[in-house]
Amino acid sequence: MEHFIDALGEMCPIPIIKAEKRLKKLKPGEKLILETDHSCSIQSVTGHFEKKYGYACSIVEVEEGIWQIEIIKK
Amino acid sequence: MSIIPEKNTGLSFLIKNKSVFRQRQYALIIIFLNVVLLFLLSHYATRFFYPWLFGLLFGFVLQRSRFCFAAAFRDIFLIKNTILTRAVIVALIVSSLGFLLLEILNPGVELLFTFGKIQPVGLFTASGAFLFGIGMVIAGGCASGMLMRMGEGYMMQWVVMPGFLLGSAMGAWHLDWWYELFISRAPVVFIPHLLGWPLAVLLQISLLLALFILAGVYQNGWKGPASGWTKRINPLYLLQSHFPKSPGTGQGLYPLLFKKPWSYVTGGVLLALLNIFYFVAWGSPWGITDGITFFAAWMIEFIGFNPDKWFYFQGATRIEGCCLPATRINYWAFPLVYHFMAIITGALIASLLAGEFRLRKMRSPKFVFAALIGGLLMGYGARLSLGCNIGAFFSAIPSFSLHGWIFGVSVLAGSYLGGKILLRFLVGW
Repeated sequence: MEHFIDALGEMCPIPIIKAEKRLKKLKPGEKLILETDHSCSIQSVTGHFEKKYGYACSIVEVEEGIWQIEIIKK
Repeated sequence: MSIIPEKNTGLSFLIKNKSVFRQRQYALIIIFLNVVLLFLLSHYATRFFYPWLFGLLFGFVLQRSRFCFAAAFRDIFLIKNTILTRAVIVALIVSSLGFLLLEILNPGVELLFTFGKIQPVGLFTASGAFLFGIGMVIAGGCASGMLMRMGEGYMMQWVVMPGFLLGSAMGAWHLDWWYELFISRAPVVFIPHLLGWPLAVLLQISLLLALFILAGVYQNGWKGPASGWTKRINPLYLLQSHFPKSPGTGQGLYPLLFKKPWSYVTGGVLLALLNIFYFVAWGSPWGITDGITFFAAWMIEFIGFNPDKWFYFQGATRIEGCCLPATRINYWAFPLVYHFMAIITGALIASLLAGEFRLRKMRSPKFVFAALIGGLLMGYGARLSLGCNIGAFFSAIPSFSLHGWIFGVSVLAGSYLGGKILLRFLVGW
């Protein structure tokens, strides 16, 4: 199942806090997509979930300066 | 949404990424104008040359590596993540050694004590830094982060700026009072004078290394994903970017330099090196808020106030490069006013080269309040503690001044409270 968080217009670390809270409720293998326009987030969110939790992340820049970060819970 | 295969190099990357291509044209125009400007400054207004040049470079590196001093403190509590904290510590080690090298290369002049960021230390340092720490969390970035994000088109930071200007002006206005009561009686503590150079250097470097390891253990425990000793201290591992593979960023030199974010440690090391070169070129280490305060004074002159008599500006003769006639202060002639503007420009260039510039709206009106209050707290706090995350921390610790450490500890405490406020009022579920 795919889950979606819209974090447009929210500064760090709000996107991470929201994603962390949502990911806790997901089952392993489920996918979360976080949409953000905060350029720091693409590095901080992926760094946080890849390095701290070992979740696989990938990023698509859907528009100039808007990214969708895909996080798969392990 | 277009998914582009990974094997894009150089020119084909640009052709396939129309947005990057279009924004890059604006970037090239701005770069060209800056080259012309720098050429003119180097010939006709040399005092303004280095603040402008280094402002562009600092802004560029800040944006490319998303180096955020606010996060380095705040994320320790809010998300238990110390990746940026560790990058800041690495940067402090590099700049401490660099500043030490400058001291050794200039024997007999007491370079750091005379020209470094050395300030009195007292309860005002701690109080100002505490306010600054609260402010930077709710404003979504400290002084350098605010400037970087203004360049990237964040509306929120354009609202933080007026708050910051007002806070700086109020802080400079009240400084007479603070000075008489506290600051004038407080000691300047230059650690090498207290302990001698060898012990001061040994203590500083080992303390920073210990904090580096502690920060890693705090996040990952003894057996986390990056807990191996080799990984903890291997510079190549640290410099490597952990940015994940993503369709559209492509490979090759252009994406590597201008599109993919640099690792935090890369950014920190570059900022430290820039700070060392800036010290040599400009004669004083990196600082931001003096420029912003002079700009604030320039602005409030327009609305009929006269800040000339305020202690802060009277004391400004000590700030090198400033031209201080006895009767009238020309705020616009203070070179560092343009330094902070150049940081915004440098971040704008970096953002355009990556094709990710956009005018970013705030999610809800409550962020307007957060921005204004955060800016106000930062502006006032920076005046009270005689500097910000840059001047009173990032340049003060490598100058071996005790006030840098007190500032760091207090801004950490402030960011803890700021984080509580953020969770209570700004995170909408």
